[in-house]
Amino acid sequence: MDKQRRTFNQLLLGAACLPLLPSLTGCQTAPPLQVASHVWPGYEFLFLARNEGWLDTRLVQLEETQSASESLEALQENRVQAATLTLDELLMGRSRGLPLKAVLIFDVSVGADQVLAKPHLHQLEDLAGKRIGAETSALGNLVLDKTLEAAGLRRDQVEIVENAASDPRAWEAGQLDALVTYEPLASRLRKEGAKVLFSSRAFPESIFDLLAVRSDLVDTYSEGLVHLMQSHFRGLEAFRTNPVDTSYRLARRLGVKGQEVIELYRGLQLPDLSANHTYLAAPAERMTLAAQELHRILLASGQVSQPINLQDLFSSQYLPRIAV
Amino acid sequence: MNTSLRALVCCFLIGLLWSGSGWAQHQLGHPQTLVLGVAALRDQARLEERFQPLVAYLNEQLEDQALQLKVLSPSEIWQALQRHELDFVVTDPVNFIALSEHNAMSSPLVTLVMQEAGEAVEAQGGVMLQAADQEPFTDLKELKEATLAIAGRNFLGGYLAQARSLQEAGLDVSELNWLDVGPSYEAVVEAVLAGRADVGFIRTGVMERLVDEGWVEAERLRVVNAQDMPGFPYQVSTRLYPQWPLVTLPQVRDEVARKVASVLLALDAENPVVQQAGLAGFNVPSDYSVIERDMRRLQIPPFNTPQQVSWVEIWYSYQWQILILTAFVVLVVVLLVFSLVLNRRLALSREHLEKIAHYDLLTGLPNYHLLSRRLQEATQVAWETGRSLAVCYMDLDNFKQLNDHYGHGLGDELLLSLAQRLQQEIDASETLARVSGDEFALVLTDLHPSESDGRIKQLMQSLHQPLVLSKTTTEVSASLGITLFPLDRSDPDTLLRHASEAMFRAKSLGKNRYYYFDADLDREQQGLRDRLQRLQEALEAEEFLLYYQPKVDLRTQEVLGVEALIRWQHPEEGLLPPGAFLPDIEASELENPLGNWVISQALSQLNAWHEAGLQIRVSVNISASHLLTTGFATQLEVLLAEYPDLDPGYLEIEVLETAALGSLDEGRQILEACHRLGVKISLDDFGTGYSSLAYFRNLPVDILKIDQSFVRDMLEDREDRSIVESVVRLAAAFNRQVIAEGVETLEHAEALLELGCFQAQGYGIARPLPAEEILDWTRNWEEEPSFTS
Repeated sequence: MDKQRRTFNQLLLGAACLPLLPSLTGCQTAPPLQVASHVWPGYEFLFLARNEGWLDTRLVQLEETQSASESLEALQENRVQAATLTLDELLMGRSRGLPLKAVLIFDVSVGADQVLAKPHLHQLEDLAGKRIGAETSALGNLVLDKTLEAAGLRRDQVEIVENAASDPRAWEAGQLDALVTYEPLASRLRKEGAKVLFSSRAFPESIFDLLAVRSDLVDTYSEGLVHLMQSHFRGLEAFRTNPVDTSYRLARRLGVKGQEVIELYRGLQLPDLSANHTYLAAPAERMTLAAQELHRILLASGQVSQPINLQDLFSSQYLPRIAV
Repeated sequence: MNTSLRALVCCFLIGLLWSGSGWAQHQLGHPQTLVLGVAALRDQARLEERFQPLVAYLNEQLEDQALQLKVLSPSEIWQALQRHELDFVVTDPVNFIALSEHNAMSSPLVTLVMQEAGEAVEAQGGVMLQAADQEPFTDLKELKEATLAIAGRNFLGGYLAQARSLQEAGLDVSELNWLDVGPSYEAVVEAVLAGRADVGFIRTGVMERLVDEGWVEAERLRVVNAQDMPGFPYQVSTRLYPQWPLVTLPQVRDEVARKVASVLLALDAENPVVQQAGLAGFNVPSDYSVIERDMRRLQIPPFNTPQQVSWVEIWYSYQWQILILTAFVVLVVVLLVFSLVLNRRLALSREHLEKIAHYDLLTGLPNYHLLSRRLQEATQVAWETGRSLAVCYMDLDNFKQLNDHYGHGLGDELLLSLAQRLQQEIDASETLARVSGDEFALVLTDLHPSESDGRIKQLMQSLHQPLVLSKTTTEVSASLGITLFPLDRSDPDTLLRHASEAMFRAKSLGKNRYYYFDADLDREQQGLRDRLQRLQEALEAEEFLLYYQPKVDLRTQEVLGVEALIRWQHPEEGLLPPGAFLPDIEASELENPLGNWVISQALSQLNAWHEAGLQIRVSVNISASHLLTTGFATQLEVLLAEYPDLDPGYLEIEVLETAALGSLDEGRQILEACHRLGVKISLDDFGTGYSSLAYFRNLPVDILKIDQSFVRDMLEDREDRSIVESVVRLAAAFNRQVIAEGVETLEHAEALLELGCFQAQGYGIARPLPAEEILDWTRNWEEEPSFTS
């Protein structure tokens, strides 16, 4: 599917889609929690934990997918009980009948989502009448809406071309004046002279990357879930205390050099455990507002035809306790 | 970038020294001379040359400051810092943290960005090398037994990074086999290649430099635990850490520090002075706390002393554990105390049981059990030392009356008081015990037999002293029995029994006295008991038999009868005469059974002879005590009833003439009862001992037997002859038969005939014979009587 966000690094992912063996370990009290995830800086601490041997595979198994849609498919086919998704993808899952619930926030976009423009465009107003490449996903629409709002333009005042956020070909062919994209492609294009016209820095608290869990199965897998979250926070702590080392260890999957890894995280806020509690603890107002906005966009764009139940979308009760 | 220069940067401490006397000049406001330094282990001059353009550039930018560069060894850096000669220092982070602990350095001003193999690198790490021809190490745990070469412990990339990796793999760094080859990475690699070490630790980049310089071929080395670090230009075995910081010392004024920082941060990788120094520029300072934390974990100096942790911190970190532990400890203590109390109670009750088991509750004196044990020990000691001991058994005289008169309370009081008094009479090694009621026992040790009397008398005297009791004052006396060990060489229980027997003897002798146990007499009695036991067995085993001595009429030569005489066919000693065993039987409980056996046996034989046609009488000897037994006559009747065809007149009972028999009317009645059965009665041994005519006259006696002692000597002794004559006349006068025993010769027979005594028996006629010989003897005698002498 070409409308997928966070699907860079195709090369690595091609080999990564191994079916998870069904858990046959009879001696376990519960089978391991299976989690689908594709490559994205915010999710990478899970894989760091796995590579460093911190992740107990008897409790948690990671299934590497190429995209969020593949992760959603794995959820629908009951191959996994959890997946790393953006908030709008989680809502899409719910619209398809999956009882999903967000239990962890990996990151919040504070600039990682950008609108890049050719050098001849100097300000937002210059977008009028220009060709803008953007995904038709809720996220693509969200960034586009925010951009046009800031520019004071209506949709019909620009030409919107459907273009996957991670696909630079139309841009490179000179067919686009502006492109809604994100890291790491954004960094690359900037180096080549692209200009940042607008970014999620201007509308924080809107784009979240989450751990979505089947709420009907969450209690069965609670042990694995806690361990998964602890492993993520351990990776995050390693990144905080020794960013030099951790960067090089994240580099392989992210497809960049170690010294370039830090750049990928510039536009991301990585909430620690206590920040997670703050975001997710009921009534999770900021999260709910973001969900309502995305819901509205999804309905308006016709991506979903029926309203989605937004009840019990978020829970902080599976997060590890904060140490005294 | 130039590899040798890079090597200098990589391998050694770098101190950028700005000249020494800065401190005084700062204070005076003169143009300052600041010192930067490079500490290098080799090629110091070249390193100085490379850095000089950067220093010169800084000098230009800083205008009123004079800059000076010094390249020093690590130890020189240390000394210079101690003397406050340095204003800025660029150093290995491990040294920076170590120095900052001692010198209160400020935080790092900038972090160096190295130009390494075409990459700008802000990281460094450690490499673990092994010789390529060795078996590869695939797991860090395998290094536990390996020899590890290091250049020293003050290097981030040469020790800390690797040591931390091993620690993370679960190894105890302090227990590994370290080989410190001195501050040179070439020496480390040499040690690995020469086989002196299995693995060598060097900083990232050193191996590549040595290969570039042709110092070693890449093929000869293998990197252990190689890490996948995209973009990092060197092989690495460990985690990566920040590069070196440039650090300001506290005396440098803030504006100078800011100026230096701004100049350095402004330099980009393209700047020639930066390139010449082998750098890609400078960056905002990295976070070095990760290194400090690892230094603490590895206890690298100055963190090799235990960290001081406050109790409050411990409480906040471990309050649940502390609470649980405390609760557990409290529980353990409570259980401990509980078990101690329980133990104490058990010990007390054990003590109490011990007391009950071994002591008398009233007086607190040892009881019989303990006495017996003490006596055992005392006899052992006496035996070994050759000394004597006395066992005294004491019984109060008339205690029962006293008890009855004053009541038990007072009786107890008396016993207690007496016990206390007696206790004073003995010393610690001796024992006073209360055996029962008013019976006490004393064991007096370490005596000579001659001293015992003195001690006993003293005891008696002490006993006689008036006892002052709560309601009255009284005097007591006691009877004592004593036995002396080893004179009486018995076991403890027997000693006590002997003493007790002697005490009873003292009582029977009239109380308030003492009596010594006679060991010889006791032994004799024991012998008697043993012999009687044997006789009892002999009776049961039918070892007794009867011999018969014929009685004849001297006128007619007719055989009148026989006297049954008992013999013992002893299995070992042969045929024993009555004198060998009858004295033991006299007055014993065996007397009657044996007497009955004799009667029964004699009757059986008598019957046999009569059936064989031999019409003779049989006499049996019956002791007076047997005769006086109740039911003797009845018993005799029963025995006779077994032979209904037999005329009881053929059976004759010879009764010993004794005072016992004669003095009792019942004796006469029994004899009459026997007489009524038809049995003949004879008085044996007539003439000896007590006899009176009146007595003789009243007895239902058929025959008098003249004792052989008179008969034997009648030929020589006129007095005996007159006694015999008197008895014969007496018998005639009372119309009794008379028989003489002890007729040994024809002369005796003729003398008796002359005196009118016609019946006789004795060796001269016949010795006692076995039953089967009697028939033949009778025929022979009646055909041709012959006296033997």
